Amino acid sequence: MSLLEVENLTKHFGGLTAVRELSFRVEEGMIMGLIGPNGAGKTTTFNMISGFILPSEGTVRFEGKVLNGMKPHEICALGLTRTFQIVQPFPEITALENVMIGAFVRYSNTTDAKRKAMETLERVGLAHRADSLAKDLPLLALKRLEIAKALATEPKMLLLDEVAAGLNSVEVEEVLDLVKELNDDGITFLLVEHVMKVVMSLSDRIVVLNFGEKIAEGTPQEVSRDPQVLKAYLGEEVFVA
Amino acid sequence: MRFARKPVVMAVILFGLLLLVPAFSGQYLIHIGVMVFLYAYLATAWNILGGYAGQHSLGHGLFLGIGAYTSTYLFVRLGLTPWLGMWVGGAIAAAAGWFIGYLCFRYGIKGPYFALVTIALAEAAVYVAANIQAIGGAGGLEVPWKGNDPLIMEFGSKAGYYYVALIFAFLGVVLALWIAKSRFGYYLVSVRENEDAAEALGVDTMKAKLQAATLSAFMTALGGTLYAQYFTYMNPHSVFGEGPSVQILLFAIIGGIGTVWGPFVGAVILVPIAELTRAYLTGSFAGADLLIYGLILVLVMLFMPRGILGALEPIWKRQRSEEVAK
Repeated sequence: MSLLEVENLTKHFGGLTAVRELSFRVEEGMIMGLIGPNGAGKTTTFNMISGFILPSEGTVRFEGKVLNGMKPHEICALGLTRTFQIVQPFPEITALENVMIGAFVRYSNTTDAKRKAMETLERVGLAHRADSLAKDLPLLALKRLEIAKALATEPKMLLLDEVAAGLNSVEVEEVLDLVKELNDDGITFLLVEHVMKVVMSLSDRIVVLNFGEKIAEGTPQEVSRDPQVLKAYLGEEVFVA
Repeated sequence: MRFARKPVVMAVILFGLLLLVPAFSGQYLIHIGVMVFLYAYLATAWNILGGYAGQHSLGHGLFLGIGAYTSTYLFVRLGLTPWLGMWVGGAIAAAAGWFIGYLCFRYGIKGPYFALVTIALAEAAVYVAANIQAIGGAGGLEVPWKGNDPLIMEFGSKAGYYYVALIFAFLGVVLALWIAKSRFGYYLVSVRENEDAAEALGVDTMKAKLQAATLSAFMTALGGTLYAQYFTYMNPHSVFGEGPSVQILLFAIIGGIGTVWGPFVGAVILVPIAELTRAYLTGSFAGADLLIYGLILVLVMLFMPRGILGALEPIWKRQRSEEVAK
């Protein structure tokens, strides 16, 4: 049994089909990349897996359990936590308190949640900003905070939506190193990325979407030689991994 | 744990000192005290839903009225002491709060739309109450005076009401202190700050909002009973109307929305101003107290959008972290 199984996932928005009969599996311990040009249906897929929108058809299974119809907070409690493409901090409270919100799902006591949150901030290298209000943090710190919040829920699997977006290449490296370390600690990842370099260097396997359909799946090397993929990305100068 | 208890100790000392006030002051000051504590308590109750959870109800008069009318009706018809009747009113208001919350949150009504729905329901209650003859219709309901009898929440002197109101305000602050440090409180704040992010992190946002609405309505209704006992008269406009609904939230907003002491501070500052202007200007200038409320609200919103305590918070937080650094 795979950790995450996506089967025939389909989403119609009125007459538009954002995702069509998408299937893939994520094995425990791996880093899976989900890529595709703008409008390929990546974020829609993500929102269906994490319970933010209902699929029109198809199923999502996590550890064999069907997730369809579950609320996001229930999915999070099962050990599958997502982050957002545009960082979503709780602006008027401190970084530590931001992370505590995530920790509370495992630790109902405030003291325990605070300890867990502090550990998590240390883990992502943000402990020195623990008492800063989230609204005062720069983007790189907010990206780390976004990961810390999700990490504090003690997930088996993390869904990261474009962690690299908006960061410069040095910052991207820093975030990628963090993902690698967390993966070494045993967390499975599904990365949605637009920046190809990010997924290519990091992922064990890659699924490529275009216009809502899967056009390729395989190792980064396989995918990058696939003619369909090259065609989908033609005109974009991203394929230099 | 020691740190978490410190504000409670502060509250105990403050309210302990306030217990002594009636021994040294005249009836008028005691009256202002009753009003301050009653409104501090009501604003604290509002703050749970409006301040922490960020769901701004403009119709808390609905719950105030349910509390006032229920305990009074039970007292008049069945002779049930308001001390027991207030729990019945609280239960009915809690059910109403839950139901309104469920309807709104289930269909994604929030922000200004939630405020509008709550105004509409409280306004509707004015007319419903005015048409129910069993509770006095538009003429209202009077609390019969049976002489000084603490067992039915009737006191021969204002000091009796003062102590009851003080206890209400104290318990409200203690509850607020607990909420601010608990998972429940953090969950409410996360809902206010970013609902989607909260859901993604395992917060049952629907449940959190419903709990806040239910608790807030319940507490407000208990205050409604005290309101009825103190003023001994209510009509649909005086409790369900927009007057009390707006006043309650003004104290919270001016004092500091989403802070433990904000509603209390707001009431301490505003109630005496209103009472004094009403006493000295009513003859020549009716409504002057409301004008002053409005003026203060505008100034606070301009210069301290997060209220008085919201503006002070960064300052004492900085001091505290400097102390820690030393």
